[in-house]
Amino acid sequence: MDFGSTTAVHDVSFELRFGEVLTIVGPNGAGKTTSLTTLLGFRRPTAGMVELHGLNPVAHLPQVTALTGAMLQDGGVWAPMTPAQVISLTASYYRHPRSGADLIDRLALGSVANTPWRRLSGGEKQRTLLALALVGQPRVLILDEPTSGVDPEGRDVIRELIREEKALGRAIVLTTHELDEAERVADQVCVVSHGRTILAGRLSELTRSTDVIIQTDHDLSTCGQPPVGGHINGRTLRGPGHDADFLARATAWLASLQINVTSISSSHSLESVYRQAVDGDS
Amino acid sequence: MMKTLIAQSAAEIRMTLRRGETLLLTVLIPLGLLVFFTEVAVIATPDARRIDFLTPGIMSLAVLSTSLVALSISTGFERSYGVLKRLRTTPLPMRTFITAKIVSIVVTELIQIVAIVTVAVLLGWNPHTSASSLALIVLALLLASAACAGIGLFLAGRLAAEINLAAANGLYLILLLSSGMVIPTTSLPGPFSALSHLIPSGALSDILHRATTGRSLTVIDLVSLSVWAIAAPLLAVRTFRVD
Repeated sequence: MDFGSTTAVHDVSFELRFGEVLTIVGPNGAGKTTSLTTLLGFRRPTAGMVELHGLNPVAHLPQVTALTGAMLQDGGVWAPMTPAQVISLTASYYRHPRSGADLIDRLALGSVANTPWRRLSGGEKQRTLLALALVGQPRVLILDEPTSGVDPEGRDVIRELIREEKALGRAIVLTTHELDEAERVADQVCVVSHGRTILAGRLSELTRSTDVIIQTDHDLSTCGQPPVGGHINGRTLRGPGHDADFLARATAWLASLQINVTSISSSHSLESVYRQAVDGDS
Repeated sequence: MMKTLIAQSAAEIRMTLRRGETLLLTVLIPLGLLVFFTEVAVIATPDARRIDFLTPGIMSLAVLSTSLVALSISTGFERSYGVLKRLRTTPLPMRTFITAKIVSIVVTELIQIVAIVTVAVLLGWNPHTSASSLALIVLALLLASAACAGIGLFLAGRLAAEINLAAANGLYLILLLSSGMVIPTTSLPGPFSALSHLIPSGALSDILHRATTGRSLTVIDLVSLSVWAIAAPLLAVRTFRVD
């Protein structure tokens, strides 16, 4: 995807399945929003292919928009309109809309349902935009940073709604800066940097580690040689998961030093996977 | 389709009529100018009675203020606030959205024309009326509305909202003074008088003036207005950007 002489996105690939959440993560300017707006048919890709519902979104815009709900970062509402009014108006665009009252209730907008858009807080605006994305009962939901600027309670409401929509079989693509957010809701993750995919796959596979990771309450760097196969990094001792005896050796070694183990795991956090991928790309 | 159009049109009309600055621009300023320049002799008009010159001019001003200025400013801010971008992700067809805006313009202009004619009659206006002159007035109003809307949407679709606000207001002032609305074009310096027939507001003022005083139409006005009514909306459609 080019803008004049600048290539914004040149190698981003993902495939979305119904009943799953795909999260696109990446640094600012990585091409996340451009990928979504291209998917929505805002611009024709200069090369490659984009399909939504098996259709070219530029050539089949009416069919694509009827089946897709979208919440864009800079999408807005007429300033004097209230959430109740704009949800009702937007419902009139669809053949089988969802109940506006139900959405207002689900998104905890009841207390501001009759407040003009211009007087809503950032979080209330985000929840209203999410309601507008959902009112047409879409098969695919595209959400660009849905929890940005939302308070913790509002985030819980949005996350819960995303889980419910996923359970209803909707395919959901969302972008976020927050890896914790991605880890909570994603089935698939696509890490984008400099306009291309640098890592993609199922969350469970990306965060699976071949190592055993032992967290302790003591700095291990002054404790001498670790057991065979082990590596020390601050309070963490890491060793090969395929070595059945490593865990026994490691816990015995820590016990001999009277160091407490706080956790034992065999998976990375998404954050560590992400940092490794982005640092490797830069 | 019809349900969507009715809902969108109702929303547009409701928002237009509740916008205080729009009411000031589209109703109060035209009526204020009509009353002021009729009652206070600060300009020399070509007609024996000032009201006969001013009423068609103020009707032109009403079209200019609604179809060009108010439409351009509101659409510019809709674009700036991301409303158009969001609508682009819904199945609302662009033609339905534009039709709803046209319905809103027509309703506003009807209110304006009724108010202006009522006040003008109270001030002693007694226009020449015939079926042909009425038909000509309606045709000219429709053509001018299309031309002005095209210009307004062209500006709104290309400029940042704040720049568009300034540009639309600046254009309003220039066209108000140069189109024979309150100042006769015969008072303008040489070439400007002739050029006024080539701009939509000038052509409209002249057509309305001739139609309401029983004088014959000049072809240049109708041709000019027709060309603008086709070219300006086409230009707007070809250049409009939602983001």
